[in-house]
Amino acid sequence: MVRYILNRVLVAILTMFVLATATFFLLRLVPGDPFAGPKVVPEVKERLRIHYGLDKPLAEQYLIYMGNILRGDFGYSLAKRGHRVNKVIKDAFPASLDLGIRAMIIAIIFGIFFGIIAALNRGKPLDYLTVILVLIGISVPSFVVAALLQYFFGVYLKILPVARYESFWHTLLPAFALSLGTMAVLARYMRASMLEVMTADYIKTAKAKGLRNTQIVIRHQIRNALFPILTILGPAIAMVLTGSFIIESIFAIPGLGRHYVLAMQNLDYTLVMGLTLFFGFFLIVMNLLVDFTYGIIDPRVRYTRN
Amino acid sequence: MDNEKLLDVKNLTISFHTYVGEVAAVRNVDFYLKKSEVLAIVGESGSGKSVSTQAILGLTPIPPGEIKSGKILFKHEDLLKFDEKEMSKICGSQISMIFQDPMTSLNPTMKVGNQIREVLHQHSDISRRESRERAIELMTLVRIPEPEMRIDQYPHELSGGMRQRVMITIAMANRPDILIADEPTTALDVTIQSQIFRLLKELRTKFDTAIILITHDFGVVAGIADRIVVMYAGKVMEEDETDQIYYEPRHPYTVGLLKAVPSLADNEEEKLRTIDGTPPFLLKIPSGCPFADRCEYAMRICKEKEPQYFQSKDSSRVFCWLYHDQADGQLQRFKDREGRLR
Repeated sequence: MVRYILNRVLVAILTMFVLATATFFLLRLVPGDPFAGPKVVPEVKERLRIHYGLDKPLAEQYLIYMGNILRGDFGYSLAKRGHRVNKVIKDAFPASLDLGIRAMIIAIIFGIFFGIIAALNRGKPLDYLTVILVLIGISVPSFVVAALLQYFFGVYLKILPVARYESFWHTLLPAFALSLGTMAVLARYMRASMLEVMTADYIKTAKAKGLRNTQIVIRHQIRNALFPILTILGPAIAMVLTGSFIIESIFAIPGLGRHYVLAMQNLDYTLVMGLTLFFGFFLIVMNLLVDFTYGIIDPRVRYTRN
Repeated sequence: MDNEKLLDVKNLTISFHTYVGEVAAVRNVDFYLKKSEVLAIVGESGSGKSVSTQAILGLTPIPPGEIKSGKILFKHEDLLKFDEKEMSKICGSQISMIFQDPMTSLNPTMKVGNQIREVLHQHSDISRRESRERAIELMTLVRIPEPEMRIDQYPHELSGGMRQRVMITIAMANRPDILIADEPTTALDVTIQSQIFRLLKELRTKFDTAIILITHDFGVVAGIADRIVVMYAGKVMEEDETDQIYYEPRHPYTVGLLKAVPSLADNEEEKLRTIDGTPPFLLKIPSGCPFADRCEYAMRICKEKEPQYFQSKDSSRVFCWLYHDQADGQLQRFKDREGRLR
């Protein structure tokens, strides 16, 4: 088990390195100038380039940057003058994390619930209804859903705030809009997993033992159907993360996603780099955690690795 | 006569609705089981032996399955008329079942002890401590070594033979009147096979449990069964006492099955004997005897008209035209040739 973990961690570090290198060079290929603006005169622009070290050869810049991030320093933002990237992340991350967790909780609870309902009513209207909802959830982009939600609950019914992130009521619409895609995917997987377990021999054994149908579903079927779901939680977290860029912008939530979109528009090299690496790190850690959790929960994995 | 019958399956017909049409898996099957006797149901794959016995516990998947007719009388009550709640009181307490593949028949994410205790809690009001003690007691009885340790293990930590013992523990936990063993040793090796059969025989004497043993292997039934029902293509072909079937099989199909059992006395060089041909596909039910195409003694009527049951004693019947009064000559030929072979 220790060797397995060590192996996975090493691969993760390598992934981070490749991510940093690729992002660094790709960013420089994007046309444009971080200091462009109608009021910026050429001399000022040149002074800024020297100040931020952008006048040095690319290879040297790369080495300096890599050296800095090894010390955990992401440097200064180019667009938000005088702000350190580390500080921007530190200030904005809590809101994003809060939104992400809320969205994941909604997605997991409702996704699994709908998956179970659909599987238990296989071939009946309730199953078809769920399948249709899942299709909509997967195919309609979250910004469309977000706008519709804002209009219906915020403008038309006037029962929930349209934007900002200040109270529990403010969190409902963005968290729901963010959760939809993931919820749909989870529901689909849970339905398939439940149907697969339903035909397993041990379900027949449970019936032969005289268990009632509801007891079989709760004690034997759901628990076994949940294992495959756990493996897709990693990608699901990634979906919620990337979805948050758009949702945060639409709902004016002061989170990382909004900074990301703005930084890209301003070609803020350091901030884009910092956020990419931070997101990358977060994702890789989440995936590792999901894998390790799987090893802890499933008795078969737990023992064979020892 | 009827009152000795613990279980009486009458005229059972089960079909499965598939994409290509309706498959008649079990057709007008009758058999009965007396208290504490061992009945073996023998037949090849697809003969309907598992389907007809799973129906006893209500395990037939409906849909695609459909029970078209028949009665399953257990203690004079028709199990087919029971609802889910009434059935759950019978299953695992009065009638229980063990399955072919012990590797997949246990829940992989539940400790074996809990799977045994579950059936105890389901049918009696006992405390958690009592059920644990009882489970260990039962595991000792089926000779699972170190039951105190095994009770907290998961199925994947046990061997196939041990898992089948756990299945037997679950099945016998509430001292059922009937145990249905659906090919209990097919997935196990031969030494474990004989251990499991010895165990079943022992439990039968101890608990007075009647057993229905389903198998495709004539080699294993001789030592354990009191009576044998031979099934083929969803029909009962022959039914008789074990000795009678072994020493004087009456149906050509039974003869074929018996000849297919390899023996240590066989010449090593000799090929294994088989029955030529394949069983009929039950999508289209043959108009005559389903075995007619593979039968060496088939007469014209065999392909045209389904045979009737010819009964000699109460416990003995055969589904074959050879036993009709007008088929004496052919029957004599059958007796001469097969009599010499045995």
